[in-house]
Amino acid sequence: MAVVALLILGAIVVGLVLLIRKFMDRKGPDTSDGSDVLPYLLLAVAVGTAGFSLAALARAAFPAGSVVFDRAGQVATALAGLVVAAPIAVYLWRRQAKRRESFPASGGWTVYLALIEGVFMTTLVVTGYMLTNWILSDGDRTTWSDVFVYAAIIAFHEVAARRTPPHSDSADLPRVVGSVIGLIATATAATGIVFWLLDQVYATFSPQAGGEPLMTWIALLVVGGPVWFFRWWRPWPAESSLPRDLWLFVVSVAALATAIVATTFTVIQTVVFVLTTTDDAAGHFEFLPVAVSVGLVALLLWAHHRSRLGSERTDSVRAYEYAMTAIGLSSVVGGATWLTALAFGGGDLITVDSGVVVSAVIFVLVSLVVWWRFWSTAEAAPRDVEAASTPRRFYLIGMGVVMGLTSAGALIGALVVLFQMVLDTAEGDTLVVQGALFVLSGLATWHLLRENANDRSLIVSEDVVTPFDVTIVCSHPGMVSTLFSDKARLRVLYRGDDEGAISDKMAEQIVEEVNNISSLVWVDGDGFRVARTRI
Amino acid sequence: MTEGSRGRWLIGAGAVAFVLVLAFIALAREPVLLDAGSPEGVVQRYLQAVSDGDYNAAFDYLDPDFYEGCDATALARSAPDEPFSASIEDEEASPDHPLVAVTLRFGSGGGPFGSGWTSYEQFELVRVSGSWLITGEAWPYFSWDCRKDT
Repeated sequence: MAVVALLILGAIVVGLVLLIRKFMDRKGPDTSDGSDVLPYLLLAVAVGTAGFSLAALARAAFPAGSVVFDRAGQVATALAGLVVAAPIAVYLWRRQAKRRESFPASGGWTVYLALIEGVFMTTLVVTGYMLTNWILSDGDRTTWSDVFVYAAIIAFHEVAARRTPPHSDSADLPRVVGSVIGLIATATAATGIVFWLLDQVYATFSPQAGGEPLMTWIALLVVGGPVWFFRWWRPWPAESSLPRDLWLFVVSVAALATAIVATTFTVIQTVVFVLTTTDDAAGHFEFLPVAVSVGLVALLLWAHHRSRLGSERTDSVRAYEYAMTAIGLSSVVGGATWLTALAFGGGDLITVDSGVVVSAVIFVLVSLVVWWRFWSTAEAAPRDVEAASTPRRFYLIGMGVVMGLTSAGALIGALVVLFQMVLDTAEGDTLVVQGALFVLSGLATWHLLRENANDRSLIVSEDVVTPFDVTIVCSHPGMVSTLFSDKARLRVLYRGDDEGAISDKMAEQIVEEVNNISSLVWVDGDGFRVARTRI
Repeated sequence: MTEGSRGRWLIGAGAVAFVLVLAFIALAREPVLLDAGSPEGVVQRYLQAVSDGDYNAAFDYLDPDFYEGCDATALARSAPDEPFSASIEDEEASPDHPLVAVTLRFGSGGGPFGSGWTSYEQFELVRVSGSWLITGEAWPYFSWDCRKDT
């Protein structure tokens, strides 16, 4: 039975290798661009299966304090995965290593490294954290073998990537993926540690606080910190690249928005406490350790990533600033609608909580400041360059569409309520929210589309000339052929007499009259005539 | 055979040998066998019997008074289909009714985003005729189906 099973497995492996050879290694001239995305995806699947099977086998050998386990089942599953995946992985690895010598700018190699980084670095961080947490505190008992297997896979690929570095346009993608994983772990750990410290301070005057485990966060920092340092802080091969700039943009926007939300929430709660609350201060401000720790870490992340975007007004910087402008504008519209609803939409049965009103006012004010701060920066930039930039076009048109659709939706909602009122089926609905949203988002749409129209008038457009045919019947063409655009397909038919010679002045007039449109030009002793030809 | 190809063969042979060594260790290594007279030892033997599919042996570790009306067939019906491993977490020091906490891990447990899952279970034990037996509603929770007083 075992022999039959092994034969079947062997046949599967040989069959897969033969299939790969048949479809990927065809004889004849190589017409591919060498990106090899499909082979690299197959390689990633094979390496992933082999890697996780090896980890499962190691777990079966060193079961981390398990007193009961199904050894035979685990070993059989792991070996089956290894027997099938490992030969395919080895074959494809060697094949692609040879292909990289011919195609050093292989895009598939970059994609493969990014996939391996995403899968195995994530697993390494998770298992490493679990192991460290178990060592440092009383976390769940876990196996150490996983960490060794996953670290070995990462190290193996790191060596390979240094031997033949990816050279495609997105060559930084694998490092950016590692940076994402490292940053998430490090930022979470840093937030947890700051929270723990603040919570300890807060616990001195609030009995509700305290008791959060520090070692869990330290374990996460011990694992995530080195990953982030190794992937992000080492010198980068180029000043700027698409994956890196995209990541800087995402973190800068997300971190600043988080910091603003945390600060705004703290300000709102403080003002609400001063104006309204009669509770004890310790209970009211119980949120402070969370808000301050989240806000502080977000602020540090923003400062670091924003500085790396650079001070020059590149498209990356523009994208960041217009994203913040969009967040500010959306919040202004949403907040002002909320405030309007509070002012005019309340029923007579209950009074609106003044704390909610204070929250809405501060929310609108902060949103206005954010929007104005970033919009005025964009307005201060040289307008002709700014108007043609992709982030600005994307912001004005994209936000214009979003705001326009919002306004249209609000108008539909308002009409529904209006008809319900006419038909006496409104059941207490008012026009306040829909009306306010319609007006505010409509104003935002008007502002965005007007700016877009102004920009378009500043952008110098070049006439696009499509190829056209010109047939000239004359006795001598003169210099006319040099005056037509390079899109003209010129044909000259000689009359056989001296009545139709083209002078320099007539040549200019003919070119102007033809106006880049397919034409027949007749030249005789009376001058020239132009007739349009069918296209 | 060139230097390079000899090196590749050595690496390949080393990798295969490493895998075989791991498989050998996994198959040869016995889990630590806890004292059969201790509550943890009883829970270990009970779970091992469930893992091996030996439900008659597993049923012998259950308190006959509490599980009156039940038999190994009822236990077999509720037992999990997939393999699992178990580790003892701690034991509450109550001389008469100790509680043994166990973490059960189902599935392979590997993979980037966790293809397995864990379950935290507690086993209550009672001393009957000088031996520890598992009593109360114990994993895999089948007594509601067969106990006389339910």
